[in-house]
Amino acid sequence: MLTERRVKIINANGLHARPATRFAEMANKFNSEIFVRTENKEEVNGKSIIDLLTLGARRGTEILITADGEDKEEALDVLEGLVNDRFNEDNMETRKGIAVAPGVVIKEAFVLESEGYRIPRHLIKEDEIDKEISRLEEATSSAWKEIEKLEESVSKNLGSQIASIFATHKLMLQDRQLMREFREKVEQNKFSAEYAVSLVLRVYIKKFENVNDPYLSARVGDIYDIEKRLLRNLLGEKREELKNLTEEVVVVAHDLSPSQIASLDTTKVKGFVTDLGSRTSHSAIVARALGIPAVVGIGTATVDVFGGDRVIIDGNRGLVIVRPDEKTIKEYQSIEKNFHVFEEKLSSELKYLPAVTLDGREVSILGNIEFPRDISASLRQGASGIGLYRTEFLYLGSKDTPTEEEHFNAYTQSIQELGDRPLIIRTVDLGGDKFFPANNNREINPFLGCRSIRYCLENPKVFKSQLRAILRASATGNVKILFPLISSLQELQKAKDIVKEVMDDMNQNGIAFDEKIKIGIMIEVPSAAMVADDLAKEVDFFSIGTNDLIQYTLAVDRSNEKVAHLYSPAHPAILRLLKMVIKAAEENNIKIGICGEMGGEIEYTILLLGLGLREFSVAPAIIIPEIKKIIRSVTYERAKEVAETACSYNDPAQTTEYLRNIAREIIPELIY
Amino acid sequence: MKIIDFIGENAVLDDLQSTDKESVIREMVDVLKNQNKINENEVDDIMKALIKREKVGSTGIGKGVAVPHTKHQSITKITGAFARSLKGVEFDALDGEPVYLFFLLLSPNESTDVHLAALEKISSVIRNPDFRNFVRNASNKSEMVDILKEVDEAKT
Repeated sequence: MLTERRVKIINANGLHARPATRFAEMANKFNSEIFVRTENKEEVNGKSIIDLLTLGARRGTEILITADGEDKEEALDVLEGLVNDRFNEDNMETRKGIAVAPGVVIKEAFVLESEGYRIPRHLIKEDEIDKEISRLEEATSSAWKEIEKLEESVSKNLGSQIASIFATHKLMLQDRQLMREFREKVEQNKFSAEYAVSLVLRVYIKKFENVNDPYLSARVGDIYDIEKRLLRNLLGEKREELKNLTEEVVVVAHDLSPSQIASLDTTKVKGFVTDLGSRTSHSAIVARALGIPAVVGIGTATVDVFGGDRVIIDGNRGLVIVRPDEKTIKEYQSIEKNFHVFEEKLSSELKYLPAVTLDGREVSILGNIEFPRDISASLRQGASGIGLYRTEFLYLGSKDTPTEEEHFNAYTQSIQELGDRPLIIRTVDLGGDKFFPANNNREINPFLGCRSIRYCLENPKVFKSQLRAILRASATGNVKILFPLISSLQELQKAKDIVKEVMDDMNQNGIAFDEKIKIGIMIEVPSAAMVADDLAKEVDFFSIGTNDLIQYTLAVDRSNEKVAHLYSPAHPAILRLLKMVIKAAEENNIKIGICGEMGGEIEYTILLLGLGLREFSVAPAIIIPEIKKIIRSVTYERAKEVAETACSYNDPAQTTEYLRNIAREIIPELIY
Repeated sequence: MKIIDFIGENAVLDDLQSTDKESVIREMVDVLKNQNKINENEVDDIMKALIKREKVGSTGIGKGVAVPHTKHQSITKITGAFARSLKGVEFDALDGEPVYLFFLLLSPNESTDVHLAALEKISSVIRNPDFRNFVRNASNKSEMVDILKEVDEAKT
């Protein structure tokens, strides 16, 4: 029996090429035969773009969609929805995600997932066969997992019947015959895994197309999907599309690895949006370092956005506006402009002025960096040195542990840029959410596992080679060592013993280094904060890492949207810990600074100043003049009062509101 | 509306030399430029718009046909070109087939209905397997024009 739906074309441009393509693509996902007609045109095949175009259906035209087949009801529901949704063409959509890097940008989208691939015919050598086979297997199994996830979410959002498309995909990937053919092409023809996949599937596509069976020919779209997915898994980061951009875009992707982000061409990529991610993930940190607005955790960005759609990224408020209307564009154009004008004015006004309060308390503002090349941006904005060099980024892009020389070269390069300005090198902070070392076993709870300094103490060879590199560099520059994630006095002593060992060894070999090199620790574990007075006696400085300190103290994973609202730097527990740590540092006469994100959030500047901090290490560089502006606008006395008031509140929301109001008076342009 | 009216007999190419998407489009745009149907200074911008449209999704709409198209502020009256590649060009067409026949379509910015009507006309022509066959096997440009005129006349 036939089923029929009557629906009006309401998108501005009618059933032109793109809507027809979307309609046909969607229609092809169903087994039913689908036909479309209008009042005065004969019925055409709803799965053919060409046929649909012959209808010439303008806006306002009513079309009749009919379907015949077992899944006709679902097909009609989906197609009717597509027409009513204006073929997803000109409807503005605002999505809320997590703001991870400030700024506003309006550009066209480059959707990473949906662009085409070019597969070169590539032959492999005899001894590479095993490697290619295992790549093939890996790609297949991760493709399978991806599809399963997709199936789950589609099933939740669109119903299980539509999700059954993906069940078919899974079956295809489990097909032994298909896998055998892939393997044969690799083993016998010595084709690369990519080429084998592409070749085998293209043959299937041809076969299916030539069969006069609607069910089989409908599978062609599925095979294309499978092919794309396998290739994406195989090509991984080797894909080159992002490097071949010719115009300015914002990148929309399911997820971006830190190395993908770090290799973005920032002259072309002006912002990014991802489905996954959190504020603390390294990709977010890199985005801030690059100074491009970014919003993550949108959930379905890659589904909602089509390549070429106009997108507004509001990195200040965590909003992504897809296909904005004229009014919204105008609004944002003025925000975008004002933001840049203000930032530029601020930085040119303040660059050469010291960070000193109205009553003469001097503060130093330093930069946080991931790569030596980030130093110049910090210095340009007036940083007086580097307060945190995250050396784990040396692991980016290389599967092996960086050598001592690689460490040394990076440090020397940094020193060349910095002259005698300070460079605080943090020993590798691996694990948690970043760059699992290749030999690390999967941990059930990586944030409480063998990460950071614990990993280094477990792997003294890795640790020592970095320490040697730092010490060698200390002979020529103002270098300090910073240990991350110290949680007890004994751990610190162990780390220091290893430094001592390396020093002794270098002395014996006559290698120069700074005998008086300053050693400090991150205070980012609550236990370290609690025993800060003991730790202070063993080190030259503290650097407060607020991201982990907050996460561990409040037991909140900020990337988990169910609990993210519980994460607040203004929680009284955090403020009390800060006070405690600062007091311990003052009593023991050691330096103390902050290098966590809280230090770069201008609403907290006065509070931190008032609590007694004199060193702020921040990223991105653009924040430096903002912090300076605030410091130059208050007296230390006033800051102390503010801190006291803030500490008297017991509701984080109230504290934040109070602090924001004060900061807004100084920089209204930046606090919404 | 007749296809030949907005394409014109002189904007027909029987043997495209290009072998990739961008150069095919460029080759067709150049024909229009040489006939002064588009402003020389706008050529780059028009190319950019056409390529951008291809990035949104290939205009290779299947059956060996592609209709690269864009609206552009410099265009005052709908214009276009018709071209054939003997070897076929990989165009990321939706059915994966190489593309042999190309209709380039340039419309004024505010011309939704004309643009749609032109697409309607072109698609009803290419839907006809005889047309595709005859045009692909035509021995020269003037034969291609003749076939186009013939189907143009036919009621669709």
